[in-house]
Amino acid sequence: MISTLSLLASLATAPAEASALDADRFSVGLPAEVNLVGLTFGAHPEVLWSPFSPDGSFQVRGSMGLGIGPEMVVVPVSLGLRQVLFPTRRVRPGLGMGLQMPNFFPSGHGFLFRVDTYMEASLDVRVSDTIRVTAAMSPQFGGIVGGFGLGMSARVGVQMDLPDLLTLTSD
Amino acid sequence: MMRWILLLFLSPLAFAHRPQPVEEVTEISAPEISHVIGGDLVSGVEAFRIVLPFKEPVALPMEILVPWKLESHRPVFAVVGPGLPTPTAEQAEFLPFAVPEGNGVIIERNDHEEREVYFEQVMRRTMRTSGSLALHLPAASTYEVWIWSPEFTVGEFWFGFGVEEDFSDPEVWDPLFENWDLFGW
Repeated sequence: MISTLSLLASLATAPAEASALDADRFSVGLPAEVNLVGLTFGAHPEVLWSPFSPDGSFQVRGSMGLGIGPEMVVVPVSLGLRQVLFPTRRVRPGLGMGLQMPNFFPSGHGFLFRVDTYMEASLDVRVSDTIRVTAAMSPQFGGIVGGFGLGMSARVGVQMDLPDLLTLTSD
Repeated sequence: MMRWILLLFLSPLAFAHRPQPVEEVTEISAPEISHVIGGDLVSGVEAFRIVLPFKEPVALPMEILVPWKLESHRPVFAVVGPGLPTPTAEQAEFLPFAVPEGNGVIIERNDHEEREVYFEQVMRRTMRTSGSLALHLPAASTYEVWIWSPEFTVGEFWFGFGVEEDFSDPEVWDPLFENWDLFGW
């Protein structure tokens, strides 16, 4: 019993191990997005999780957006991976891929569900201690579920690490 | 390796129609393959001819579509060739060209009060369609499709026909990218 209590006490007083779920493993992006196939304009906010290293070299990307165009509304939901090259540098190119559900709401038509694959080529530039400006091109290919189709998104926005964002919002 | 990558991305294209822009006279070299012919009625008085040299009798669907926002835009088409019904005097008056001797005609007047809204997923366009017209072209011969706007309305249209797909030649996609404003935005 004493040894168990000693062990718990030592754990409680030991320096906390870095966890993959620590806030510094997360970044938040807010890009404006235009889809050049079908033409919609909107935003596609994203959460980036770096499970292996806080430097953000390998990221899991989850996002949900809204695009409005003359012939439809789209609500894209994406889940994918992004590999950021030269993660410690000011200018960081990246490559990614994943799945995206475009979720079409065409004018005068019912909801249409489809699952696409997407790829992306991204570039982010650190413009201050806490903010990066990001740009990305992302072609999409439908066909996994719901029939074949194309997509091509261009995104420009800002990205912050979660601790910096929390600090900003708590100020 | 490159071959497999190309196959991976091109194989889903087998669910689409070959794109081609309309000309005053549009020759279709392989009419047994499904196509979508895109065009723009700029003045409303144009009449386009699409030439389909079939090597054997065929049965195939045809339809004409317009952008969703152009609610009153109702271009029509007529299929002209051997083995089709002889035009009535009213039909002959309606047509933009004289039907050649020995040929008949079937006209799609695109006059359903409520037209179906169709979402074209490849290029993400929302359209109004005349509805699919199933046709039997009974002769191994050249047929023509005439497209015009009897009410002289203006705007884009897309004429689709066929079901057989073939994208083995990647160059068939060139017209899509060369006419992006017609097929996309």
